Amino acid sequence: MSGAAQPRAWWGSGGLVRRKAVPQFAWILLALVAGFMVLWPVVQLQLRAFVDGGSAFARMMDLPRIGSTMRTTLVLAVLSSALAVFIGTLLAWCASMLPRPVRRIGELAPLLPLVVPAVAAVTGWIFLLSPNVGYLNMMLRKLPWLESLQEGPFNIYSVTWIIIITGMLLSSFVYVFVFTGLKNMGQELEAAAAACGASPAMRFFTITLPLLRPSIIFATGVVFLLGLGQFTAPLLLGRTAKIDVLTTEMFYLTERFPVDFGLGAALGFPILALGLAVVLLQKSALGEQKRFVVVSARSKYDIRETRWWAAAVIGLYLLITTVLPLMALIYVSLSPFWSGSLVVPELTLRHWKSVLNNVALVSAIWTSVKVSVVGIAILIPFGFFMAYALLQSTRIYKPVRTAIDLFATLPIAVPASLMGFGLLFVYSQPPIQIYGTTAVLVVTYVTLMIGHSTRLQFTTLVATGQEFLEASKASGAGPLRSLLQVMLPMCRKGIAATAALTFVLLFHEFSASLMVRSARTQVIGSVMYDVWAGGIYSEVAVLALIMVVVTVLGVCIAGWLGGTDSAQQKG
Amino acid sequence: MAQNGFPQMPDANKRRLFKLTAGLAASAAVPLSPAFAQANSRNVSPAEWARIREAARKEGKVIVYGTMGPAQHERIVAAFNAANLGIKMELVRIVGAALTAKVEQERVQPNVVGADLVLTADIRWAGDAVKKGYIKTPVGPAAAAYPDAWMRGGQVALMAHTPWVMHYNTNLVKNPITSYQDLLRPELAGRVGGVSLVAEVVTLFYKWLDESNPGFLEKFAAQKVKMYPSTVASANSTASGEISAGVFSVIPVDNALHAQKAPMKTVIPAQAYGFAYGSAVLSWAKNPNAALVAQDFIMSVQGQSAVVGNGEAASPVPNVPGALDVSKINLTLIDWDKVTAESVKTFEARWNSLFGAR
Repeated sequence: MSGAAQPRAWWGSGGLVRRKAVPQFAWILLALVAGFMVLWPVVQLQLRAFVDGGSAFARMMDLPRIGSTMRTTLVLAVLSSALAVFIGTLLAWCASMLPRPVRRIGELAPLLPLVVPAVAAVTGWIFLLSPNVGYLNMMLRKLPWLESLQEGPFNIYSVTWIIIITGMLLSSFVYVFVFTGLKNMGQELEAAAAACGASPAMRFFTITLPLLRPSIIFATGVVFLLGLGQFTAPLLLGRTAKIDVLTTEMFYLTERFPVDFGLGAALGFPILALGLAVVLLQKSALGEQKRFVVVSARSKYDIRETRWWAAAVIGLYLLITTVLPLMALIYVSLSPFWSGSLVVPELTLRHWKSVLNNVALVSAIWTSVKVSVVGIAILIPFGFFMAYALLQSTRIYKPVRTAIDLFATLPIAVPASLMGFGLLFVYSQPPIQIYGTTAVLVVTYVTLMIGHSTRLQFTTLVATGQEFLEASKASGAGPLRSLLQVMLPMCRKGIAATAALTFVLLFHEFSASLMVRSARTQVIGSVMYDVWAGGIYSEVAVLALIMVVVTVLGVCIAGWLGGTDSAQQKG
Repeated sequence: MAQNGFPQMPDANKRRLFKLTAGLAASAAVPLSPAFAQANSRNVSPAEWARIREAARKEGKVIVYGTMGPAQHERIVAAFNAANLGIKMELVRIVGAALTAKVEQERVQPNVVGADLVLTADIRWAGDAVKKGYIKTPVGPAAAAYPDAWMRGGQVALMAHTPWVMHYNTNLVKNPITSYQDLLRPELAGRVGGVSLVAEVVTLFYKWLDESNPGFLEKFAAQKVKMYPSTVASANSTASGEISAGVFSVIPVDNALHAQKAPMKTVIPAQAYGFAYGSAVLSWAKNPNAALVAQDFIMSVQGQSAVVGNGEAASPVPNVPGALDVSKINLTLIDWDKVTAESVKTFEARWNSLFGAR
């Protein structure tokens, strides 16, 4: 190294200020921008809860059935995340035992429910499990031992089914984390146990599961936070049965004028406090973040026995979570109206034509695509530099790095609906008054996803390793050249996978969009809610299917840009 | 009656109806303050009207927020665009109280390109808006000819008098439902639907139901009523058979399902309660001239014909084709002069305690 020329940075190689202060200034600026985006709405909103001696909390306690609402919120979070962890772990275990002919497709199958937006899946489930005219219920009532029933046997408009559906929706996230852990885990211990005569189930419970603990703890934290801020299923299923959670109470506030932001802040406070507590617990349970990233060499041996029933379990999951709701959506979209009859009616394209000829609906679809693409264009570089900063253990002042870490964590800890409510508050008044414009949607999406973008690209950077960057620098390339010519090409697939996942999350975004949208600045999720609330179920089905199609196209394009297997990268 | 299967209205109480409507009309026409006397002139010279129309053409479009049924909105847009006035109408449907919330949010957001004209059922808000100077006086030939009695505060045109109706699924209910009391039948327990308090008019409907049928609401709540977020959602659920009957709907919404041969029957109760929509041009409209032209169109016979459809609502404008003939039904309209925020809030609390919903 002594003989090598000092690398010339893009900002020059001048004095101490240029070499040390300028890069630090850039990182501080990055932290400030991220901090403003993430902290400003949360802090400003929460301050509203405490003005006037905390009168907002008194108003909250005066709300009808507030005790029941809080209890439902907590029960939903705990039980749906427990169900998601159970299903997700089971799926990961099954995926690890898939026979070779179906392994590739079987490993991808548990991710497919992510392609179906939650709002579409819930709508599909309404068509299937409405107590009287749900198609699945009607078919079940034809069974000999159920034919005496007048309705049911299942009632989708109940806390039980809100929990089950939320758990199923969240299980794919658990699968992502647990299956990644399982794949990266060596199989030597399992092989040893097998040699000693342990059955597959015994090996799973005594070897595999304990080794997967970090992945499971992390996944549990993530899905608990998502369950705590769950909005879609309670909103669409709860109203008929008079079931509310804190996030739906907040949403109803935005439907009245003047919006009681103080009350909304008070309603969000328990979720925020619990969310932050979970993140802190998660961090203390898992320690240094790099422990999540398992880059150990995989075992040369693939000793896990394969089982066809494992494929059947995954197939059943796919059937329940994806195929059946999609079939119900297709059927209703082609029916003149949602009818309680299993007899195929005269099918019609009327609702497809109606949606595609509706300027407002088509405009909302385009707005979704545009805002998602612009959001990704901002999020990828933003998240990349945030992730890069987190990797610089000595080159960035620790307080700045800690701040960046916090700003990458906070959006994950704060439910989207609460963040959306805060964003509505801060961006509908000076100094930045952008309510009613497309800009507020872009800002919302960037704020919501900055954490995901950072964490996903952090994983990519860690997996890529620092050696090539060091080698590039040792060869005389400056940081910018090393970044552009070495790191970016090496991370291309990971970045494309991040872009694909971000597109899915943004295009499906519902909770925050519903909070910040205005009457004319809408995205597909928000207009779909309006059409649902307006009761034109066949058009809801059409919009849901359009969401699925556009999502698949978006993922394919991202995969094509990043290379063929980028979609699998994060899995 | 021209509509699908509506029972004949009993002849009794017609005079009372006319007294009520006349009374309402008179109260609506009373100026709210002396300042309105000068501002209420809706008649402008042909030259001035031509200038407004030319300015409207230059603006090119008008944005309307409405809360009527989807079919009504489609007809209004189609009729307006067919009139070839050189202005494109964009009509955004917003259900319930959210319309008022959005309009008020836009009022304090100067950057937002929002509503120029509203078609709202929240007449208490519209009346307050007149007092606060939020509404522009409609002008033009149709506006000038519009009956004074149906101008709230001289600036909000009341129209589309709409009775609230019940409906039931004919596959599931064999014994016809003719009155609200019929919804208390034991076989309908858990299979009857309502609309939650998404707008003040909905609250006022339940309040009227409670006051005109003492004890009914308690018994109705005991039927384990399923609540829906809109009239359309409730009607679609009745058509699908998810519920057997609905307590709250309007003819335009039901007609859309009748047109698709849904197994559903609509019933105008012997004593019906109803409301009128208010059409108002907002003072902060970004397309003020186009809004005035659109408002004038909606107040014209042609516009009213689009609003009322085939007997879906009545019109204060005479000789509107297809208008519902209110003289044939016993309809009482909401008396907005008697509606106060306090009375609404008090009843909402009672309703919440009965139905356990919002």
